[in-house]
Amino acid sequence: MPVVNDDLLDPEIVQNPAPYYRLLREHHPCHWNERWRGWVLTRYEDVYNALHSSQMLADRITPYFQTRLSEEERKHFALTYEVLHSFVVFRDPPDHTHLRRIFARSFMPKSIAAMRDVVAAYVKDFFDEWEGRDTVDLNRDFAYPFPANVIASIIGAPREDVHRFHAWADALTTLLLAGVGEDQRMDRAQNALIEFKAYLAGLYDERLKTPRNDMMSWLMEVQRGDPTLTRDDVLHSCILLVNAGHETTQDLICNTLTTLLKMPEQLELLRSNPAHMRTAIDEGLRFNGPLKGTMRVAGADMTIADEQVREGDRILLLMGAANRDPAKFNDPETFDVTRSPNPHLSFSHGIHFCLGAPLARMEMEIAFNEMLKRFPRMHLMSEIKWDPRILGRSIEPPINLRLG
Amino acid sequence: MAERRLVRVEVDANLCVGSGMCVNFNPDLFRIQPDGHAAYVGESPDEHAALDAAELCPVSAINLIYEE
Repeated sequence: MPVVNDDLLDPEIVQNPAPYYRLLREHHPCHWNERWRGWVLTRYEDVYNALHSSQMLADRITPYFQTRLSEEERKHFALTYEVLHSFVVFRDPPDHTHLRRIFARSFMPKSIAAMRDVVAAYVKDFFDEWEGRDTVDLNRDFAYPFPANVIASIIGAPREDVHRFHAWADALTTLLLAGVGEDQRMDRAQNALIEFKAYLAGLYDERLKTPRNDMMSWLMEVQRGDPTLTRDDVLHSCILLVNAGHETTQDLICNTLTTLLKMPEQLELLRSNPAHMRTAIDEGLRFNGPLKGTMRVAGADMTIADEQVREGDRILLLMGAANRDPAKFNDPETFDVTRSPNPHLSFSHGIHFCLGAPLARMEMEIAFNEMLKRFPRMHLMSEIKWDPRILGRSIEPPINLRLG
Repeated sequence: MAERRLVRVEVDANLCVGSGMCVNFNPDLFRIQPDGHAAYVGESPDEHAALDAAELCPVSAINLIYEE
């Protein structure tokens, strides 16, 4: 049986994970990765069951702080712990249930649809600016600033402050999505959290006097009716929203468009049949979704694919591998804009299913329809190089496009 | 317009992602099944609660079926 490479950041695996995923799925469906010090699941069924299991805990923050940090470090990073631990993505029921209810009404499809005009106006602004240019950087000139502007508008931050979100979100993403080669990432994240929270506290205080029609005000409204919700809960929730609504959408735009640009017949099929846009977006999510994986902690001893997993063990769920499992998808290595049904796991599944999914789908749909219509001859000038990340899947900038 | 009668509340298993939002707000009417999908388990169709759940569902998987 072939030996498994336990270096998840091996350049070969980062650049082309499919063969590695296949090896794990076929021969080591529940693999102990000695280097990462945890189990790795790759089959659709196992990843799906793990995402739906109440025995798989989402709080990986508490064990990390308890076992990896010294008492002195724990004291030093107390604020980071406090903020991260209040993120709904890192909580388990019953706290998760409570926190998620707070967001439910602001993120339901109907509420998101009400933001359609705001999103469409941003898209138009960016592409107006593209007109008349020969080349653009997809990332710098659209994919990064567009979702950042949208999420800032939704929260209620003025547009001129959006650039400040970038450094904060970037510092936090580096910490959470296991960026490499950065010793100072915890310090950098904590400093960003301090600044970010102080900034949001300013918006909060303004809205105490004058509520507006934005998400910060809606969350404050929920807070008024629920004495268990604190000011910190609202501020931390906004930090999570900015972070979650920012880089994931940026990556989804870049990954999906570059995949399409390498398959001219699929791109043409989509351009001539915009009715396929919905399935095309889901196929982009399945094929090169912004997150290759997510992490859980075993809440009890259990057996997975004949392996004995112990309570407290770390488990890496590779949605990227599950999304290409031939046991679930026909012809999984083929990108097909018409694929339906497409039960990919890129938005997660179960109680942690992406709250922002309706927003991400709408941003993608408006942006891609407009882009394909206005720049029919656009093509890729840069070579695609994927960033070395364990959980995230993003392309190194720049991503240069020739428009003419 | 004549009042239409709600006959059934359905959860589309192809769309449902088991987010549990319907269960979260209406634990007596919706329940997560062993396969991970939600189902309507109320004894009779509760139109008000079902409409609310349908709106809250992040993937719009809940359908209200009215009498023809």
